[in-house]
Amino acid sequence: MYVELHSCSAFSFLEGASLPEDLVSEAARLELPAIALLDRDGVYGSPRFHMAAKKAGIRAHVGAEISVEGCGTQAGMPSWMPNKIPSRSVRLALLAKNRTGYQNLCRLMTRYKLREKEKGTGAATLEEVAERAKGLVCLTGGEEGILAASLAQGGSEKARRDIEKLLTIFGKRNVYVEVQRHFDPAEETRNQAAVCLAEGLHLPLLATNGVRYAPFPGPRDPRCVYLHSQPLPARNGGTATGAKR
Amino acid sequence: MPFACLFVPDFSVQAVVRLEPELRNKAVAVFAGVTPLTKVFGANSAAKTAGVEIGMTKTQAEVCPGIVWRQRSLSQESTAHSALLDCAWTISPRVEGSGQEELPDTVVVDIAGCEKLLGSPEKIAGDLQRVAAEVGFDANVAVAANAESAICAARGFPGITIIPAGDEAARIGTPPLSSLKIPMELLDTLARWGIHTCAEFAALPEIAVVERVGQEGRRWQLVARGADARPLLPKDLPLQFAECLDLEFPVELLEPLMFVMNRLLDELCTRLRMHALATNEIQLTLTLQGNGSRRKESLVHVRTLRLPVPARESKFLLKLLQLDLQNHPPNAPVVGVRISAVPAGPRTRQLGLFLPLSPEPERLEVTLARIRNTVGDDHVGSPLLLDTHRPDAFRQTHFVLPESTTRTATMQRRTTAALRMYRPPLPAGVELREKKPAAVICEGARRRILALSGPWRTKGEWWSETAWARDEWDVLMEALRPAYRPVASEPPEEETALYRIYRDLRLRRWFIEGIYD
Repeated sequence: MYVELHSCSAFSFLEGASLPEDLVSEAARLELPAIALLDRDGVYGSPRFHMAAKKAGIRAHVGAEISVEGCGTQAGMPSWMPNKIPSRSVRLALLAKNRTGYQNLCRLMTRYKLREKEKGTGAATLEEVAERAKGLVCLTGGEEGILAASLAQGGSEKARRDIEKLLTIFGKRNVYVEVQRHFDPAEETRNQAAVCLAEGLHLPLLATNGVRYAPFPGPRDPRCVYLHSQPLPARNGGTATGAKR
Repeated sequence: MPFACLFVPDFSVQAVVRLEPELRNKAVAVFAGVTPLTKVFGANSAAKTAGVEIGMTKTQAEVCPGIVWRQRSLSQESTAHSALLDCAWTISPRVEGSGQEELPDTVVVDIAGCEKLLGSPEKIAGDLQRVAAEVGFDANVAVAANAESAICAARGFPGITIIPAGDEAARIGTPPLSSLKIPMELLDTLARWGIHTCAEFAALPEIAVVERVGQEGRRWQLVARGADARPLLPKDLPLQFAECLDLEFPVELLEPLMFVMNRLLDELCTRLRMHALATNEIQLTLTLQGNGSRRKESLVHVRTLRLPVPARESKFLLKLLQLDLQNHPPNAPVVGVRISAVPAGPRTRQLGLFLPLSPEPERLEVTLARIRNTVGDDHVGSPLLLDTHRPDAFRQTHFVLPESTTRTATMQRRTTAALRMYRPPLPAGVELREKKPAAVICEGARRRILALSGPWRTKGEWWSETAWARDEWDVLMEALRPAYRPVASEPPEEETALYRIYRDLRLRRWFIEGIYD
């Protein structure tokens, strides 16, 4: 039985494309017993997600991807290649286990959101995450996550050190090494390294899809027109020529 | 003594002469109006000595020998007034320009507090006159305790005039009333009363003046007495510097046009230097001769140059404009030239003692412009990768020298496999076995695939007409082209190489994209 534990909705602006209700209806169609919503730096979609899941009879998990400073930047284009793509902080994928976890997650995000000078630039420090780690489960993430960044910047050794930091913060039972597959060679290399690290550190592996959108509704659905006619502009002002999930 | 006034006599003539310095010692007069109502609008002192008078018809004026005639240009006068303001801004930030259209020849500067910085009023007045001479004006300067007295003195006395505080009425009493620019109706009234000088007007009883010509008359009387203490209305610094010149005859060739542009750029760069500024964008607007059609709007040819580094060297800017015009010539003779510059802070760069010398940005820019002239605009630049998953996606940007930086010891050099791309990709046929490539047919030969990895699947822009989708495979197979061997006697051996092949899912065709090193 598969449960999707890493998906984001259109509330992750310029990254996710589907409304929470569409994600839930697709999960129901696939007969998934539960699904988790991890939007970027917020739990904006959770109420709609929860209500839709309740109606569909599946369990909705709450979480978020929170930006973290002090852990490097997201794996992207190497600096020697000519580009003007700004670097972004890595994000920790956190799932709330219980009410305490949800409270801690919300307080953590509120704290660094109050500090940010420009919209979308706030990031939590690892010390703040450690203060609010109770009741939270940490996933190592996909291409936006800490594992991908560590492997790109310092190889397996740095990745091991960073995961050990997470173990110190969240505890051994609350860290999962995440693997995703989108037919991308870089991701495949990362998955192989993740499997080795999980074996070495005796951590559980977790397969997710890093869902960004549900398949389109039927052709008669008016939202179909909307999705086609409103291409996602990529972050940084460009066009989202790379949507592929 | 806080106000200085800069006045340019015969402004319409000097606005022409500053861009044509060879006319500086000649008798010059300016016409205005359309034929047959063309009249003399302005003349310098040499022309007036030769018999030219303001208001003469063209036929009457052309009788006078040795006069150089020019048509009045409002745009030239406007840029000349801007240049005059620039002169004043070099002394003080509080500068009042002509609030009224009829006074483009006068600017007033608030010099209160400048004494400690720039010296005595005499020195400030001398500086103002010198700066005005740099932009081609022969100007009068006057310093007085209030703005109107300074204006009156600058208009009434040639050269530099300093009026001590409290002495305004006595000093400005001698000039004629016309130097105050009093409205013509009031001037006629005063002339009928037998009042011709400022002193005579100032001596009239105030109540009697108000009873006869109203409050307006009282205000002008205060000016004539040197007692009008109106506040200064300072102007804001300009966002753009411009120089323009209307040509007497259409110019078809580039060389004479360069001659004109050189003058304009010289003036423009002088003005930029006055503000300690440079420019990073130059716009050239050429007004073209109409082609005889009835359209009233004038044809223009606009070229905009964006510079990688701020510059204010006229020779450099001229060279760039010349190369650009060679590449993009106007399609009709030119009758007017306007060059505007967007101001920017000058380039500041600290050269390192141990850093290697890089080419001068100006010379590099000229070289790039020359290359552009030869190979075309779209074929010069440096690539900039785009934030997309589309393979090989980049756009071309202007080439700029990277900043010289010392390589830090902590910088790691990681070895990665390099993919040498075939441009364009080689079309190929692929035999499949269990939905995986088994052999590649390319350039007439079949090569068996020894090992493979994939598929690596990407797609994007599915919402637009430029959608793309492809499955990539990395395959090990016999080399397409054998490597060069310097010694022919070595026995040939089977060579293998790692290739990237892909299937374009929209075209449903296979290609070999490149070879890994």
